[in-house]
Amino acid sequence: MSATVIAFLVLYYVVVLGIGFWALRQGSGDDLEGYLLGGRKVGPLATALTLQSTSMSGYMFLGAGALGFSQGYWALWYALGDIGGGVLNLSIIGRRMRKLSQMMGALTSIEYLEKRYPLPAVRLFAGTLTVFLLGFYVLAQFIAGGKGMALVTGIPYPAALAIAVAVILIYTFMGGYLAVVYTDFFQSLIMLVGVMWIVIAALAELGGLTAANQAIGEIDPTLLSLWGRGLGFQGQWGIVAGALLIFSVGYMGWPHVVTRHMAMSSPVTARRAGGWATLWNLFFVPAPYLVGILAVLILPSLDDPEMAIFQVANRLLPAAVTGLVMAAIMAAIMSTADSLLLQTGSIGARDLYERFIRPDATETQMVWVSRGLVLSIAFGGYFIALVEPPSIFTIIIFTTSVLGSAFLPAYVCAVWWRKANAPGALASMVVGALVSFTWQYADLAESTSMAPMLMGVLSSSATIVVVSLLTQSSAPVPSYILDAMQEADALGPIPQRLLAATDFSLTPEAAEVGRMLSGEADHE
Amino acid sequence: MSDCKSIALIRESLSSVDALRIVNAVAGAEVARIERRIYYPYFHFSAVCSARTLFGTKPISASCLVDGCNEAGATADPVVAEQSEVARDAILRSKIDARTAMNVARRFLIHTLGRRLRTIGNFNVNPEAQGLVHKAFWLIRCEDTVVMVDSLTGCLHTLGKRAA
Repeated sequence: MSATVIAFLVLYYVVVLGIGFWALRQGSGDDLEGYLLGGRKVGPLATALTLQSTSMSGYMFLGAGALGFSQGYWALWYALGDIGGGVLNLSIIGRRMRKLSQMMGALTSIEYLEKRYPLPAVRLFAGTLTVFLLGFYVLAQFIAGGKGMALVTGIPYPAALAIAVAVILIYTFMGGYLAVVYTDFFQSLIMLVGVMWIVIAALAELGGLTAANQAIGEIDPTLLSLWGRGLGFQGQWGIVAGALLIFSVGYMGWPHVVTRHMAMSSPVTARRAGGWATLWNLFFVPAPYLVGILAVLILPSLDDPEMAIFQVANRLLPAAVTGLVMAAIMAAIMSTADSLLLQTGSIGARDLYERFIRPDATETQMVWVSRGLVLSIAFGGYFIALVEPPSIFTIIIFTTSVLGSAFLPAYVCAVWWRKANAPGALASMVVGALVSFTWQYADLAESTSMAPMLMGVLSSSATIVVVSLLTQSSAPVPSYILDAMQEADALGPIPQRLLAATDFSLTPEAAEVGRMLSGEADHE
Repeated sequence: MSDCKSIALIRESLSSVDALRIVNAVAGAEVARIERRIYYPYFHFSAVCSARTLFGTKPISASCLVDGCNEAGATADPVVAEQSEVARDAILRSKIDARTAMNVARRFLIHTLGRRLRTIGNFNVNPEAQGLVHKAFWLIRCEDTVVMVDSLTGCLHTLGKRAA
């Protein structure tokens, strides 16, 4: 790696620190408050890009590129699921979940599960499984950070990994205070511009997409198909379904953060931010897969496919740009790892420690529990990443498959099926996690042509239906939950236009007003 | 008047005419008519939290509203409320007490700060109770549907079958 690259990498961090310093010294505490309070003063574009910069993990820069390099256009099944799934989650399925979650006053998805399925074991199992899987997902970010750092600085992987883990820990414990609005915005812009720059540079190098495809076809025509290298997945619709599911509905199994803000004027920021985020995804998500595919031509003797994007950038971009782009990618990896660690720490402290071990825990104690858990994951992750690092793609697919298989039916039935009860949900989570885990561990996908995610979701869906129906008399769904589900549902002959204009953050109020009008709730 | 009660009402920005115009615009026809106005209870808290930065500790002021009926917390823009006399039967009764609301507010603010600042830390959140405030909603009938319109934001929400 050239000195110029390292110089611009350092310059990037100096600029980021400078932005943070400027933002905090120039009395922009109001902006910080605005950001905390729902983006009041930050604006829709900055709000959207700030959120996107944290959602793009090391997978996009290492795993996606590796998949494109190894399997060609087959990789686009995953991109398709990612783009379509986000829209599906936000617009159709996720809406009811958010409504019911707000009506039940749940702050975390684990808390929401226990409120909808009132059984302590639901929270205990869901919390424990989530902590384990999120910890595993963090491992992918550690490996990505370590590999990236090693390439950028030229230092050996073990030392680079240690530095990456240390920086992620520092970032988690205090880096988030770094004027997050402006730094994330800056980072997001650099990431988008950088990745698009790599795509354009790669296409220019190869004479355009048509010429590149022809050249790939001469090397291995099966890379141009949607069935993978050597047509290895031809006709295996079970595997295709798994690829589509993994980043679409699979995301629904992830713990979601519930926050709510009440504006005192028309809240246009959030709506416009959603539009910007979708646009950003459309441009950004397919790009790393495409770079991986083009790397087949640019770097035919690449040893480690996970380094495809880093190496293509290194080969094609000016050194200064490479430094900036790599810094932004590294920052994105760290930012994602830090979000995952925070989520894990929070679930460990609130959903497990406070709920089951010490209900009267103080905030200070909970902070220390969170920190202890984060440190444990960091040390454990470091040694796994050092001794026997699995591929990032393997980790991401494993984690998302198990999470999706365990939680998807429980989340979906929570709002769509009134008979889904606590024993059914618990059994579904256990069976889904076990089937998906076993399918991957025993490598059954190859012999059965069925993806672990697909088998996991099918088995957990069947389980919640069968067990819920069998236990309706012994464990009926409480009436207050049925009421909440009824209110969360779009009821009555509501004109489509009104439904489309509905602000679902008002659902709790609407439910109560509806009860008042029907005489079921008191007025003064 | 015994049928009226003085409440702290969050200053509204939409008149009944504005609310009708919004619903008519969404419905695409002049079919809406005002049914009534109701007042929804929230416990209002203000808090000064501390956020450590690499360049020193920053105080962050935050407003929090806790839904008096559902216990749902929410951060809020600065709240301006004025005393108003309104009909008792238009006021929803709060189902929780101030102490419960305080706990919800503290927990919600810590949760939000941790998420937004992306860090593990103790933010010294000590919410100060500012009292019970109410927000007005216009209830508007639009053909067979009753729509609730937020008097501050103009956001609307359809009500369920029972209300219609």
